[in-house]
Amino acid sequence: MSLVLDNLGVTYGSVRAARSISLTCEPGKIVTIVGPNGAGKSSVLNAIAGASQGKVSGRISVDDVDLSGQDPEQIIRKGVALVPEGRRIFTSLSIEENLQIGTVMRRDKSAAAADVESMYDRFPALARRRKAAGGTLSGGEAQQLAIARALVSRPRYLLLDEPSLGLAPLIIAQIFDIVRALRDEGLGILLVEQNAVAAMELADVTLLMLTGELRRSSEGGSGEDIVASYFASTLVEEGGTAR
Amino acid sequence: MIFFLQNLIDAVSLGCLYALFALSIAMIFGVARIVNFANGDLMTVGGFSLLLSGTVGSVPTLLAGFAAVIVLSLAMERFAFRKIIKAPMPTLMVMSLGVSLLIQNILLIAFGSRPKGILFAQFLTEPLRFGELRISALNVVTIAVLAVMGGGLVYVLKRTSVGVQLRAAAEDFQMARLVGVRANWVVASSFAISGVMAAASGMILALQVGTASYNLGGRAVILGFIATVLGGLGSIAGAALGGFIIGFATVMAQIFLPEAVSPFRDAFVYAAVILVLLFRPQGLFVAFGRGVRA
Repeated sequence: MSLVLDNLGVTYGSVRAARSISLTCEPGKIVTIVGPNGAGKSSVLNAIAGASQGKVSGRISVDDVDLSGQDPEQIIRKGVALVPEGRRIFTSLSIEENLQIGTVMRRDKSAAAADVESMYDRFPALARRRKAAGGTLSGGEAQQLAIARALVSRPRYLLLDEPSLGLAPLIIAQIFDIVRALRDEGLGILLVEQNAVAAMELADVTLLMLTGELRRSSEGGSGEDIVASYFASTLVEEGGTAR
Repeated sequence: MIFFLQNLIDAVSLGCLYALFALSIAMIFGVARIVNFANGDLMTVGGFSLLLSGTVGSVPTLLAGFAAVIVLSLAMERFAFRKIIKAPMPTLMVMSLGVSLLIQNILLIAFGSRPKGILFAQFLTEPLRFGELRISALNVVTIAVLAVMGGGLVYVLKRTSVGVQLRAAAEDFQMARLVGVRANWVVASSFAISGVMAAASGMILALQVGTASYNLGGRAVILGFIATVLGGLGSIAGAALGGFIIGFATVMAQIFLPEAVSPFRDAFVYAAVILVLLFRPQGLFVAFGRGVRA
């Protein structure tokens, strides 16, 4: 029972965004991929969710079911939901409609409606503004809505792409508390983050991705060697930009 | 006063008809980003369906007309566009032109190039009298049809699961798929709704001109596109308002322009459209669609 990537590769034309990516994400665990901008982290998540615009190679499976080559709407039905970078909530839809559309693939409509209601208990900020358009939410509220929209599909695995991006430190802490709670409820979480230190505190397994490849991994703990490698890579990147 | 009211109703009626054209175009463009020239031919088929009235009666004719156009619209989606839905826009446009020419030529083979007289519901051509005010019954029907169809569309978009899926797909098609919206289903739904609008538009158009010909919807589809761009690409309400404004302005130009230039009213109306687009290239109303394709 796990989400498994076996030798995953993603190419955009002649550019190899990710190569030889192999990892396992088990239920009740958080696997974090850290790395600088452009390392290929989002390409990996998009490939798993079926949203890649590039050519995907290798094998992706969830609970021994092969997901390779499947469309996004099929993959979410297999229990894998993506919370994309930048939230991408539907700004013209109300909060309620954003949550309802998250249940579109469910056949148990009454249970789905109950799950939507339960999201208001989990995220009280959303409950106060059910009828408000998604476009009126703050960054933190939008991130909560994006997570809630994914959760109402009842996924077994959650792919989180830069959930802290553009948020204030206090809000980031709240979002990471939510992620921790979801892990404790048994969800398998694959988290991609640039905020390496905060993400590693959360992770059961941390992987460092540089220039399309997984370079190092750490089981739990602080993973100081990874942090050091990450910041070293960031400095190299900034140095390159400065020149 | 009577003169003003008479023309006001004409203007509102033409505005409603153009709004129907625009809704038919905007439904498909909003969701699938297809500039579908073959929409005009769906309207033409709707117009031709009224020829059945002599043999099967009025209500079955209307039902058969709507059914035929919806089936044709769905067939278009399934066999012409589904396979190439992710192709660049020029490819989709060329496909729609090909489908349009195909339908026109089939109609030419079946009915010939001479317009066919429509005998459906002749009472609609009679004026309704309210004192000195004389209103064409067809104008009233046109306004009523837009009210019913527009109201129905708002209901579907706001109150049904299909509607929420259509709005989500219009805003961010890829994200809609990521939350589980079936791409083929939502695109087919937009074609079906567009077919309903096209059938109604084509029938009204045929009743107005009194004939059905193979190129009946040719001008209507261009008007629909202009209205959609004027309203704001991707905005369904904007398209309807854009259509209404063009239709209304056309009648008003006819009334208020000097007699010597009033035959060229379209030139004035579209010069105004050009001016508007020069200053507001995104259209008059904010579009909610972003054109994401996946």
